[in-house]
Amino acid sequence: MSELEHLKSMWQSASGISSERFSKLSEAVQKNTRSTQKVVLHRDVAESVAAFVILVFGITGISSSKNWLDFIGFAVLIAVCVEIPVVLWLARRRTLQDISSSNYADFLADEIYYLRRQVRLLKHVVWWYLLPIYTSMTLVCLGVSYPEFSVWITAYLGLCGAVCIYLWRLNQKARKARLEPLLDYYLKLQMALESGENGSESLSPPPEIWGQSTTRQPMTRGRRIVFVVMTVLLTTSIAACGWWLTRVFDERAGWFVLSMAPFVGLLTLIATGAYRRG
Amino acid sequence: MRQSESDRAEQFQQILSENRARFGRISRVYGGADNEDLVQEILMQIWRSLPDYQQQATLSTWAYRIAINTAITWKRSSHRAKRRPPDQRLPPDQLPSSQSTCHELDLLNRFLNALSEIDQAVLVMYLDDLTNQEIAAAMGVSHGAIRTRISRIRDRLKHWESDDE
Repeated sequence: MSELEHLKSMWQSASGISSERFSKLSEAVQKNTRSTQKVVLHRDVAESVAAFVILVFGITGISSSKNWLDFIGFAVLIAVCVEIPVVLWLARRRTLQDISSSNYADFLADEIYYLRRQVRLLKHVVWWYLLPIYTSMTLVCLGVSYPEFSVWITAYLGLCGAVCIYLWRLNQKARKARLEPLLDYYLKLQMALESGENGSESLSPPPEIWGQSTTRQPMTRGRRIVFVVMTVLLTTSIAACGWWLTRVFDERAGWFVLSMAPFVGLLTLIATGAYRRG
Repeated sequence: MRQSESDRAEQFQQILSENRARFGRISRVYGGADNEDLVQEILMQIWRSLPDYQQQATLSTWAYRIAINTAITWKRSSHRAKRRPPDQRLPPDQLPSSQSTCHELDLLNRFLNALSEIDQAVLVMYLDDLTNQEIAAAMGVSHGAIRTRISRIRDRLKHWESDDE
């Protein structure tokens, strides 16, 4: 291959995309802008409805609570429903608002800031996510079954605790395997940009970051077992919730929730892929 | 002052007519097999940003900067890379007629993909005939730093050629 000047003229002779295709894409853009706005609106509405349903469930629980245990449990549940979306929204926020007036250095700084927040989030996932959810679940379970604490409740809470520990490990693994190397890579890029270093071979992103392996990894036996246990727990929780509703709220609503439990279980199995053979 | 919808459409058309080939090449380098998705994303970003255009740079340079920023962000988004591995070859209908030029372009694409994110962006802008000053502004570094970087890329290219042969 020859000198850069020669490459420049050769580079400019390649179009990269045909003019007809380009015209079609540009026409689609103006239409898509409107549909994107609709998608965002639908997502916002869906999130608001979900939050409202959980809030109603929590308030119903509080108003029909029989003792201070489930009262606190439902109160924590409501607080968690507000806290988790707020934490996630804060973490998703970007400092860079205007793409058109920003340069590469700004982009890099923004990316580093964003990744640092994500790393911190995963590092402390137990405090802002797992512990509040588990605490509220435990209190509600204990409160509803009070004064009897059956072995089933203990086993159920134990299993939920095991799932929480597994989720915590998954988060830490993702932080160490993906986010921290990526953060390290961008910090090196920033240093290279500021110092004017070469920034070539030593600055290639780790392969797992760009996901260069496109083949689907088979699911391990342990992971499949965890997904199956998660599905059973979820189905049981929904069924228990339905049963509780039949007793304290409205029988028809309770039976409806109860009948939904197997469908949710089935959907969870499909979504996690736990039904597949290794 | 905010522009009217017809001004916006007019400016958009002007950007498209002046930069079609450039956007195509950027999307080929950064988007690989998903280059059409990337073109669409670039055009979408430009369309959205047009009301904020303040005429500090020419329309074309301004749009080009958005294209590069969008392309880098696109490549960083790892889920896209997971879907399809980057295809470094140009599609047959968009290649120059000469076979040796095709070969050189393939080599150039491979060279570009072997570079770091910073060098890749600098080289793409250089090949697209942006001045050192424009590249420096887009990268947020000094004019001298870009000159040094281009000279290092040139050296690296020479070594890469000999290694490749």
